[in-house]
Amino acid sequence: MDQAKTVLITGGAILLDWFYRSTMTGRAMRAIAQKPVAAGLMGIDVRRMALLSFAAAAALGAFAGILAAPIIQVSAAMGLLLGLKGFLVAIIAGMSNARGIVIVGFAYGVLERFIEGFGNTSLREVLGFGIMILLLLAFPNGLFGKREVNKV
Amino acid sequence: MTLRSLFSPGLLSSLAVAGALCLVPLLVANTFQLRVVMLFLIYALVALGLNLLVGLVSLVSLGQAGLYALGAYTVAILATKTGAGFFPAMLGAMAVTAVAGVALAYPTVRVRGVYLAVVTIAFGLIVQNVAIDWRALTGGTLGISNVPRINLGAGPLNTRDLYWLIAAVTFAGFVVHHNLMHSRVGRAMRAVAQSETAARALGIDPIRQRVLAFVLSSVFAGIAGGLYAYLNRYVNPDTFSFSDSIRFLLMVILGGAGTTFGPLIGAGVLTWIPNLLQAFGKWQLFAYGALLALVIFFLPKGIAGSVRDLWMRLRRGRTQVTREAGSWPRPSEAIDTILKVEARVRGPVLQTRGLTIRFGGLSAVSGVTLDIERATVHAIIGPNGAGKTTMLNALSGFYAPTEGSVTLLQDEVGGRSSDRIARSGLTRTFQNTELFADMTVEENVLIGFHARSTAGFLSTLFRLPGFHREARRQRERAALLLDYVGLSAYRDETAGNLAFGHQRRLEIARALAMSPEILLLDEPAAGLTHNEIDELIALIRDLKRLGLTVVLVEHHVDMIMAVSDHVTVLDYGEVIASGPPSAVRDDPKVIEAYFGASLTASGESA
Repeated sequence: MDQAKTVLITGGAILLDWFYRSTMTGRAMRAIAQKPVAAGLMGIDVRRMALLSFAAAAALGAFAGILAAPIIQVSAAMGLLLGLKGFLVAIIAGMSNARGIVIVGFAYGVLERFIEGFGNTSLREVLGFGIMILLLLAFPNGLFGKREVNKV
Repeated sequence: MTLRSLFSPGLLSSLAVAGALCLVPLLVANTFQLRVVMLFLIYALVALGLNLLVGLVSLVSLGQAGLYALGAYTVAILATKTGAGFFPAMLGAMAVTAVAGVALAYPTVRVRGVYLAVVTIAFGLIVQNVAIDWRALTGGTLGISNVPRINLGAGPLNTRDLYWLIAAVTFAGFVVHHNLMHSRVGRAMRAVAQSETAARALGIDPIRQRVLAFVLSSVFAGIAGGLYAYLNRYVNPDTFSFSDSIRFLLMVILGGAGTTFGPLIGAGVLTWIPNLLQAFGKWQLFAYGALLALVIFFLPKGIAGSVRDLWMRLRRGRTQVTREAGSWPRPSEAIDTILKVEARVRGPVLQTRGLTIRFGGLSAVSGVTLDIERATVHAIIGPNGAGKTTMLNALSGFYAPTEGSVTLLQDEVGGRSSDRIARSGLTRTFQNTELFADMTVEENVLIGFHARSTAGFLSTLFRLPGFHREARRQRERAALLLDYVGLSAYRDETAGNLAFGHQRRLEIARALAMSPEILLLDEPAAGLTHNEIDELIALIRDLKRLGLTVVLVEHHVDMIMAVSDHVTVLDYGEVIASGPPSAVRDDPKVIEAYFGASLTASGESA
């Protein structure tokens, strides 16, 4: 079961990466994220792409929920902390870098288990979030994000 | 003081709030209801503080419950473990939250928007989890019980006395919040939120404004937390969760961010709605969520914000007038006294020596040496991409020199921040006019006075006499400046609605409000009509007469020839010619830079 899960997650991530980089739809999505107006001028239906991204994000979130359900306690509010950490991981990695997000997400998961081994769950949140804040201060554009030059 | 100023909207709204607070004890039936009102007042205090952050500097904090918790725990710990009285315990809570506010504001130096939101979320979660885990100090999940009643010297306060105390504190919070919003400090904060670049060019330090807003909003939350500890007499970690932070933010947004009454309305709605919705039984939570979603969807500016917009539209509908801008500049003796520059130092006012700016491997400006003399018009020209704007950015402190030096009024300023340079007497306008688009024309000019204001922070918060005197004088001066650029008729118009040419004029008036010695104009003629360019030429000459030094980046050749005393030509970041306009015009290197080598070569062969 666990092996099947690992294969499923890894395969899904690789497939998603291929979709973003190599298909027209994936490129269009990245284009509207960077410059919606310019993307619209190139004939991309911005509204439709935004809808599609929202739908895809929801589906992926649900998929993550299905995978997480057997290992954590299922409750109506289970998504809050999980979603928060997902968001945090995305920001630390650099919003628009899918590969970076996978790496940071993996590292964060390992870190959490490591802290848990020494302390308890509340220590896990304190240290985990504390480290995330420090990382964000040291790398304001994310670990894998591109540096933006501030033009006047 | 006139009758009108005595009954200002500020005073009237304060009286209304005070009146309502006095009526409450007469209207409530029992102590339970009074306790609900007290809880509302405490929430209102948090919301008022958060509104300073969201409504003024446009920063979103989702960690307000963490600050609220810090206040509550500080009071609970001080009161139970050290036996501290009301005032020392509350001062302790204020000090702790002020420090936390500075710590939370630090990230804004580097990160903004969603990034900051995440930092504040993480902060809130850290505080809550520390409260759970540090059992020796906080009692863990059980919390701290038996917080003593407040004793101000005449025995412990009963519920009704406690109400008066909480009402008084919240009222003070409301007054401070109102005074701050309608003052130069609040204006500077809004300016930073709308255009950080323009604020810096006017000598306002954005970091300082953000830290100030963060500290104030934290202290408000801390005081509210302390009062909560005294009201509830028991604190535990459950009260300070992430969803409480969301609720505080919702109060501000639902009520109307940036409005005076918004936080009160939002706190009121979110305190009572859950009670009213009990009729829905098990659908209560669903109804609550649906109601919020609907209100925010239909009233994106919140309740108070939407009411204000409606009121403005009704009023504007009645007073439809046609306005015309006057011709400009309109010199007058009064303007002369504001703008006249006294020479304090001898020699060139602005110098560069070997100034180089590199981006990565690319040199945008390399080895530029310039001397700009007092009360002259110095033009910097060159083909597109020659490094003119980079040069201006380096002179005004927006870029730090990679090599070389910049000397302003005999003072080395290379690497100094742009707002400090502005306060030393150099300000600028921008290629794509950077106005505070959501503020009125008059407010834009008033912000120009900010850096030179003397009324202190406390005098602003409590409206001491010095505050009113200075505010009146600044409005008079703003009227003079608007008259000088011919925009008096548009004083109360929103700056973003002005025609393009008028926006240019306003930007110049705003820069002049700083009483600068040196004014940098970045392509002021771009997009203007012939007539407007003639007026611009007259303005530049008038500024020169008053002793200002004007540095001009421009493409419009006729204008440069008409006003400049000295022209420096840049090409690929290097000075290729420098001298009086007539000499530069005939310089073969300049002709080559503009028209290419082939033209002169083919001219010779023909």
